[in-house]
Amino acid sequence: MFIVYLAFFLIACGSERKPVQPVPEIDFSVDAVKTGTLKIPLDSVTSNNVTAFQTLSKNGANYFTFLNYFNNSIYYYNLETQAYDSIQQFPEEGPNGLGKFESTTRYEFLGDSIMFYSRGTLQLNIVNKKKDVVFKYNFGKEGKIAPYGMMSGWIFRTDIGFNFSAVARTPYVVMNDLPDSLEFGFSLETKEVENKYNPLPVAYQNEIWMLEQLRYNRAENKKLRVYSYPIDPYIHIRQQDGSFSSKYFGSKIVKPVVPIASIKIAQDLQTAGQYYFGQGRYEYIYYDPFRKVFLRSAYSGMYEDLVDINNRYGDTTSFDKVFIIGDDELSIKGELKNDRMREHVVFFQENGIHILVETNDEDLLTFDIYDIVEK
Amino acid sequence: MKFKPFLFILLTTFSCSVKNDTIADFQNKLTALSSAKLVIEDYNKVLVIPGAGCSGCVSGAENFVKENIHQIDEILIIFTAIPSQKMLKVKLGIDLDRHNIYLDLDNQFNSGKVYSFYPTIFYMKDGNALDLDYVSPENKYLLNNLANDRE
Repeated sequence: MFIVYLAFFLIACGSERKPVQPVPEIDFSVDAVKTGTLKIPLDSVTSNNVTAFQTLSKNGANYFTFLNYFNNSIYYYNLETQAYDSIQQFPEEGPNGLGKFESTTRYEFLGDSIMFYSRGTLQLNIVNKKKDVVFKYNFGKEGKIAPYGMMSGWIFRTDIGFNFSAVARTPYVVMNDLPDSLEFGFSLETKEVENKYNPLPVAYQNEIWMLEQLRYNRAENKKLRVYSYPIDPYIHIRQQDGSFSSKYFGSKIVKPVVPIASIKIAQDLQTAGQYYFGQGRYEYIYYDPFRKVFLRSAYSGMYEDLVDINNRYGDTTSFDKVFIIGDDELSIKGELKNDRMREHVVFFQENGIHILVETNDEDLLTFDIYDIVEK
Repeated sequence: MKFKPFLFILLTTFSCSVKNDTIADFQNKLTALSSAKLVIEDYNKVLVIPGAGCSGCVSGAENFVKENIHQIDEILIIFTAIPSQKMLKVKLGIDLDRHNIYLDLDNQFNSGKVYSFYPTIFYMKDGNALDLDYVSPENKYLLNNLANDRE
């Protein structure tokens, strides 16, 4: 009797498997051409592992700015003169203290003011140009949802404040019910949080995933907001009327992502690392306003026995990394291949797409610069 | 009920076996380092600090080294899986070119059986590892013990 029941159960579950979405054949019509290199020198107290960065246009000059968590500073590198204009240090303590920047994962220029967000403390602070704290809010104390604060497109400006991306808080459990409000609006005036409709793709349903596989990235142009989920070759698109659709925006280098077989993997970092780095994924997504293209990062994964969790990307011959290039309508036009890229640090200027790359020199930030050209 | 003692013995045996394997792996790797410059018999403990893992435990161990480096000549410090030598120097603010600091640039001490999410203390006698403890959030007092042992 039990065997019969089990058979029915398996058949029933089997019939609920998600349909495999088709992968279209695409002829690439553009090439990404490397046009130069930018090398930014670092002082003796600055890491080449950039976590928070921003570009800034001010008084006719363009800057690459980045956070130095060691000395609580923002460094302003002038891209025209290729020299630092200033280093702005912020107090850790006192009435205008911002704490140590160790867990400050993001900052954002708001005119003359700067907003800082700490993913560790869930604290959002805004300082004016005199570095006086003019706004404080802690999502841990007062809110039920908090910005994830690490991925691309973590924040968008709105009429009343901001729209933040959050993350599904259900790693290592079977995802029977998918969350449908993973972003939220925040009012600067009332400090109210309003959940926004943003459903997790059905590709996640009835399976177990790591947190790294649940967090997502966003980008937008004037018409669309797009969402890149690590396991899904399809991009999810929010239209201006709030409706959602999806479109293939994947790469052949990423094979279908296999869910976690057992939560036991969470107890063994080496096995977890082999699982995570042994297969491909999608991650960051950007919109380049100069060339009017979307770029979505894709990683091929590597053979599990080649995974070195101490140096995951050390052997660049064991995996592939690309940016999928798509136009304003999210039609794929080509791929930019660079196995050394650190795809979390990318910025755009008129002269090209700037992508941070791995080097052995700890005293330099090295960017490869690309242009997109028709074939 | 009668299975409980058996289960206890089984778990204890398994735990001891894992520990012994870890110590054996560590001993092999440490012996391979032995040289005129690094005399392992000079040390009664080895503290292995991974660059990645339990961040609070790692920073606790790094702070221990920073604050006590001039008083712990009998403890060998091995930094492994170092994300950035430059930032390690900045964080510690000490000269890393010391007899009792070893930078494991090949990540030997963060692989195989000796791999750990936590800093690990190996207890030594005459160049042989006898026992180990992990500096986990529940065991942070072990660093205080290390500091006090030298007094």
